[in-house]
Amino acid sequence: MKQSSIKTRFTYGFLRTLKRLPKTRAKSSSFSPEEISKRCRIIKLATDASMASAVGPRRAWSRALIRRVRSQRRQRQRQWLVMRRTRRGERKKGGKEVGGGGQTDSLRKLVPGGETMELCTLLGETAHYIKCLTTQVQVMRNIVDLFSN
Amino acid sequence: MEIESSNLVNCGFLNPLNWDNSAMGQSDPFESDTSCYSTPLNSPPKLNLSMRMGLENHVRGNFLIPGNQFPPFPADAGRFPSLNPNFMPEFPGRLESVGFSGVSSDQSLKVVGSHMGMQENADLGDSREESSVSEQIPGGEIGIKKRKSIPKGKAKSPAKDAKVPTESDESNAVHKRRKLDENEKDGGKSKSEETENGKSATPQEPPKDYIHVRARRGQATDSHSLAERVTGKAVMLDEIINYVQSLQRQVEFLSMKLATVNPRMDFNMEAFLSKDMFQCRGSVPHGIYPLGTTSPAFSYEYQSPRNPTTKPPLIHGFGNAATASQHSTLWEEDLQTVVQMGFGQNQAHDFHGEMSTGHMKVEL
Repeated sequence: MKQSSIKTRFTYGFLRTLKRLPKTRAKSSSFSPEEISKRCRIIKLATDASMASAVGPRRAWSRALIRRVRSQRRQRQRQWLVMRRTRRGERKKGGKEVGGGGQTDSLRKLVPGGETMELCTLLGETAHYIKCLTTQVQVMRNIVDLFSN
Repeated sequence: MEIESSNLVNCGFLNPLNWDNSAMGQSDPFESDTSCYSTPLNSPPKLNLSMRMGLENHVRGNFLIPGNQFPPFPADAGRFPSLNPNFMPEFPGRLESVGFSGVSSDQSLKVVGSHMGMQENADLGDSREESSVSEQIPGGEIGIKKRKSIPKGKAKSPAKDAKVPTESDESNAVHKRRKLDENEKDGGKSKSEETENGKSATPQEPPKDYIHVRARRGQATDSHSLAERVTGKAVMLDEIINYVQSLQRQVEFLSMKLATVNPRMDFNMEAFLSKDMFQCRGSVPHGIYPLGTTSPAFSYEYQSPRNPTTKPPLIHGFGNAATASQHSTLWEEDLQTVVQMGFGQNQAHDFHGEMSTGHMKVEL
């Protein structure tokens, strides 16, 4: 049994960030679709960031995910300048030739950072990514159940 | 082509009726250097190679389905009684690029009876393959330049076993066919009709497009495993993609759900934490405790007033909360802290409790 597994780290981090979420004051506002969609987006971002940070830099997909989260944040903060910089960097990385059929291309799009991987590494990253995704779903489901009860 | 023709003639199993010369020209199934099916008959080893229908790396892309490309074969089927010329499934002329790479087998594939047709080379199976019938000219195997003649498969029994093996081969055909069922049905029918004397009857249906798979050296050549190999890769990839997509959709849905029930989160957060931990995994508590021992320093960093009920292990998880709290309270910043915390925690674990704020900053 690992001392601190990805699951526990993710749970901690995610709950912490959730706590920091701006709580909705008025009941009415919380049910507005815009508000909800905004919160949904924020929560999704939070869960992705939590999972990626829980995994750490050991995995290529988590690194790519963290890069994406950070770039998104910077994008929102500093708008187009940073976006161009990151986009350029991403494009550069994406220019590498990688083998794979049609299905592997769709898999690359799904797995963060999979654009520049070889097929074998892509499959390994996919396996770990799936494992972490299931953990994420499980934890989130528990949290939702806890909150809704 | 000449070699192919000669091989074909020797094999006699071929059901060239549907084959055009063009097809043969593209592939060189009779290369002896490729290992393929074991020659059931005393036919020259080249024959085995011809049988080999497999996907090779270089074949990828130009994989040809034994369509109408097979050269008209002299029906020398008489020589191979077991050969069932009518087995030739329909081979649509279209190309079916399987896209499988790396499927090169040095083993000799089970020579499927002519009954199976080219595509049925998938019956790489066991030595049961009929000698005579099993030899199939992989008309569809285009682009297969070299074949290592490693007749790993057992010697094929004479045609007398052709009937049974072919039938079994049919059932175990490891090939992707559009009309798989039909083909098998037809194959069985034709097989049953055919006697062991071998017939030069033309295949009843045009050869279907098949994916020729060759087993690698040391790999099982059982038709089931080969079928798994042939269709497994694409199927597995599809399944993986679907699974990942479904998981991501679930995450989105759950985050949406969380967004709606979020207001309830402001109270009893720590209780939720511990409850969630225990719910998630029963063994979690056991693993948590060592955290406190390894990183006692974190306990002081943690904002204790906020979590009076938290156990020491939980504190560890939030060891970096002190540094994190210094950041702006903007939501965006929280994500940053999460990331920092994650990295800091990871490194802290490595250093056994060492406060890795420096590293955390670097991560930024």
